[in-house]
Amino acid sequence: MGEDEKGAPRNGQEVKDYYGDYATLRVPEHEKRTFLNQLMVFLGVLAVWAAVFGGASMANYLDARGILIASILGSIALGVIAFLTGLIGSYNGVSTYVILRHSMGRFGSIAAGIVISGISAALWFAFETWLFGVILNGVFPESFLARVEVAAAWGGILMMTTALIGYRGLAALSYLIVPAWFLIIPLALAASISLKGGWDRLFAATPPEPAGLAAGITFVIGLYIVGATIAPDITRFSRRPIDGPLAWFVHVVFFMPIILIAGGWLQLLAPGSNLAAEMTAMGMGLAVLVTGILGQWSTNDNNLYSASLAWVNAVPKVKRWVWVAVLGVAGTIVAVAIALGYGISLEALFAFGTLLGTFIPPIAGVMIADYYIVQPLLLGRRDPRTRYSFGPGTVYGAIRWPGILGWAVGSALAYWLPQQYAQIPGAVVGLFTGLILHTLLMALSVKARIPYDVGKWVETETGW
Amino acid sequence: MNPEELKRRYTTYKALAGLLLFVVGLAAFASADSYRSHFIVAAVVTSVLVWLNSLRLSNCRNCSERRVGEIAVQGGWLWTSFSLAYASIVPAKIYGIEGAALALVEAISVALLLGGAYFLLRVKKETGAALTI
Repeated sequence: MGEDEKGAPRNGQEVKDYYGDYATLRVPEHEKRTFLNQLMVFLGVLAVWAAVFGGASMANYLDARGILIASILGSIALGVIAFLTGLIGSYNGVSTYVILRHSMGRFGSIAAGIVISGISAALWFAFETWLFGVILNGVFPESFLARVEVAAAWGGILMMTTALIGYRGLAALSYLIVPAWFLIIPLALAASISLKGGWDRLFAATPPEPAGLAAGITFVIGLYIVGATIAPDITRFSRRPIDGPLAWFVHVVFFMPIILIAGGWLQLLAPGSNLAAEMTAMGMGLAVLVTGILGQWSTNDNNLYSASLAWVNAVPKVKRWVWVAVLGVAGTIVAVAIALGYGISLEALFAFGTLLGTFIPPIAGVMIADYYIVQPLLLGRRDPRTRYSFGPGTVYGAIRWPGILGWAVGSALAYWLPQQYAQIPGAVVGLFTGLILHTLLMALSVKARIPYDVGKWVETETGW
Repeated sequence: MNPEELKRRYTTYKALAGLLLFVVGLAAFASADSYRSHFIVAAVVTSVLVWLNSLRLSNCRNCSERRVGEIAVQGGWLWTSFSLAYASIVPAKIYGIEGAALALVEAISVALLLGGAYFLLRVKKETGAALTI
């Protein structure tokens, strides 16, 4: 405990927090938070219009029952995945990328970090900037400044600016928005369903391009799999090991379906519209502006922050503000391009969610396999608190090939199989392929005495 | 400051805020032309959640000043946020709340919102608890 209070890693040496936010170190005891605190943080991430639009995009492919089932099953799957990944974070008190050093090696963890946060979070910035334009267009359809591409352009620049100057006060906006969000959205949905013909019409409605339930589940998992994979980034702050993982499970299983179903059902009843536009038509423009602008802004600012942090961890010689500027400008350009290509159509969001659901779950699979199967059963490290070691002088493999191979093959199968058999959810395939392949290859490597690490990397004083 | 005294004061404020949220919901229910049931549900949910938090605060045994502040901040955000929800949704034309009734409901909501913001800042000042809990 004494070591923790000093902010020191496990081996007892006190270390300066060089990258900030304990990005490469164990979280000290005095910084740890309760279940409720973490639940609010997670709900703050979830309460954005992107999730509502995500639900809406399912209505192109699923009927009301399909949206309901896919939302619930996908959310439960996410809850289970993130509980397992989150528990690794809360036991060890370190971030996802640091955890991955043990299952993928030092270079593998850098590559995974870039894919998970450096690229995905930057793309989320672009998509949420575009959605900012979609929301404003729904509230002020006649205004030039609220044209989707125009609003995306100035919105992206403004969000980038606040991320650049590091205005942390924006984080408080999430706390203001979250409870209001879960009051406003169900009320708006209930009124909309009633206005658009009621429950009978909703359950009789058919999607324009019906697709299998598996595609819907993959989409739901893909929509938030990045969050589930990087759950340790938040759960590492847990006071008790169970706090963070349980908070993740509760927020995704009980709250995410509400948002997805709200977006999906309304889209099904009023194709071509969206909940923001419908709310505006019902006279709830103020509520849309409050939840849309404040919520979107505070969350998107954070996307850019996470993406820049991942790049700093990969290329530490370039300052964080340079990464924010580069990623912010690039993300804004991508947002404008999406706006010009898709307007307010949500097809782009479905494609993006599916793409994330293809390449990220295998990483979670490898992480889970390594901590819960490989370390205790193959390498004999039973105690979950001492299973992994971190800190200056710790030796990692430069590349741990079973983990890398599990990720690569899992991604390839998750991409290819659903194209051949539409009923197979790619995200689940990727997760289990990563999990099984990493376990089997490590078992083979241990039993046959084949080295599972290529090269080595010794952790420096900065945690690098 | 004495944590017990702070606890008592914050619990009282929150119990009052919960009551006012219930009153706002009831007033909206009484004056709405349509979808009145929505406001009954909202009144019960919002007030119960804020009351539960105040109960949690009052049952906090041997809590430090900072811990009292943390729990108070959580409830403070709830009440402030629900006030914002009422203030932004009640004017929607589908509910048909107009004239003096609308002005009254909006006035209480905005007062609760501002009161919530003040409460949060005061808790932060008195206990040192962070606002981003």
